[in-house]
Amino acid sequence: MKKLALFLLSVLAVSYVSAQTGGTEKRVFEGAMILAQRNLSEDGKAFVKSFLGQSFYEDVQFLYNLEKKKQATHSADIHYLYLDKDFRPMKREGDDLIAKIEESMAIVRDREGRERAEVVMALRTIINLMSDMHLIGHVRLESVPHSMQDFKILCYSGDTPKYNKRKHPVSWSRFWSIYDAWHSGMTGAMWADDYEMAYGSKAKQYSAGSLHDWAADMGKTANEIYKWAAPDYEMPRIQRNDLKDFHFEQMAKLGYRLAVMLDMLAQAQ
Amino acid sequence: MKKLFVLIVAFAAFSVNSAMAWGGFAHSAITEIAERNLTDEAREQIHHYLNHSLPFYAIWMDQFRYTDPYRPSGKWHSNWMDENGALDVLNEKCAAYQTDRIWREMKNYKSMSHEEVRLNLLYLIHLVADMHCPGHNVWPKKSHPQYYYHLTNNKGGKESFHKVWDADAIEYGRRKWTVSEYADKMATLSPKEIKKICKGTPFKWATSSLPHAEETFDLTPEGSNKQAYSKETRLRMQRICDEEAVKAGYRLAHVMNQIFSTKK
Repeated sequence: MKKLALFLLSVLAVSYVSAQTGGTEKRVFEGAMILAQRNLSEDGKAFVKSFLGQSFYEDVQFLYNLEKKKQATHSADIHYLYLDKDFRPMKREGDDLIAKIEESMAIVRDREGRERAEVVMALRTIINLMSDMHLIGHVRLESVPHSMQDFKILCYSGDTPKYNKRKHPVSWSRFWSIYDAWHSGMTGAMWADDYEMAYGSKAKQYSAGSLHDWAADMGKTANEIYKWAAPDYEMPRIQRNDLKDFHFEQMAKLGYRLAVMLDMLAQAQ
Repeated sequence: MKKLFVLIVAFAAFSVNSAMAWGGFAHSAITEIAERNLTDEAREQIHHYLNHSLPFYAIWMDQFRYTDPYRPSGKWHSNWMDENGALDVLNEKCAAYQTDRIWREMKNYKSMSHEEVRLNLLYLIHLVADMHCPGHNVWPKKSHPQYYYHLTNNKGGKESFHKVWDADAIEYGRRKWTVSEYADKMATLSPKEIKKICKGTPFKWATSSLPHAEETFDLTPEGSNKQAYSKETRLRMQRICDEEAVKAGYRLAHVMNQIFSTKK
């Protein structure tokens, strides 16, 4: 019986993870990538196109795909943004999201004389890690010990009477994909339109500053969230619903910031 | 061991899309059709009050129906019939009744608070869609007991009649369709045709959809295996859903355009 239960759990876990990395979740990120593309300068567009082709949406998953094919040399830790109590990037042994972005930026900046494949890989790494750092579930704060590893919260997983009676344990880093699942069939372009409509007036505010400023902003934003988000936190339905707007705002930040970063890299040579 | 099973149930529950009226796909498609048919002035006002596109709020009413103070609106998602099988126009639970009420009240939206207007828009986005769903028509059990029956599947298990019409039929053979594609292919009516289907009131719209709703009982009779319907049956089911969804999209735009029209 125990073996059967373990088997069922593993099957469901695999299908669950697949569902998160495919299908509708992708569309929300695709929206951020399309937003970035729309906000690139003409030079930036030409630069990105010359290295990554028409669309760089698939690059959101670049490092994950390497991991899946067992071609990665990094650990899963690279996908998390670690910040100290002043919201500065923590110096970490081994894989470090901010250090890796900076290393990749240096490769792209000094691209002359380098192998094209190396530059492409660096650009894809930037896109993947910039996406990761804009997921609140991927922000880890030294000042909030429970944020330093994934934990489970309890929330309603559906809106029918069947799901109405009890809350279910959900991984904090995975929780955010619930909003993508609510909108099957939506396209990245539709979400990009929505991000522009809802957050376009703040584009300059979001993209001002440096990579470290953006990381600090994510840290401060996460810090507010971690005032209530903790292991076994029972999330009221209204809070789960209202957080959708918040999550999409982070996607808009990602789009506008990525455009600025890619434009800067395009001009670097 | 008990913990393990709780974990399995949780995984299963969280992996499944929230089952909702008209399904997430249909609601998103209807709002996309509406979004494409808004006038500039309506779009501007909707942006002012909602700060998002219509699809963003397509299923807002489903998500908030168990949340105070919106709980009473949880009963407005269907059309209700009287003993004679006609639309019960005095029933406050009726989606058509609430759509009509809100539409009329919104004619004076300028005298309402920002939050009132916002809430009314959120209701309309969902109600106009739900009142067109073939599985959202409720007859009294005495006169139409078939509404309360179940379907089956290949394993002999119980399947919900409501879900087949709500979410399954519109997506038959279209698993990879986006709502953008759906709107491109389905919402192709001429201005004259659009004008024709938008004529009248929500009560008239709901009444004109009743033949489709009644046909659902013939197409998917009690106890029938939902996985064994013929190709023709599936096509007919899908056609019904498409016709209703497209009408809902145009009508939603019409309601919004009328509310925010400066030419009164």
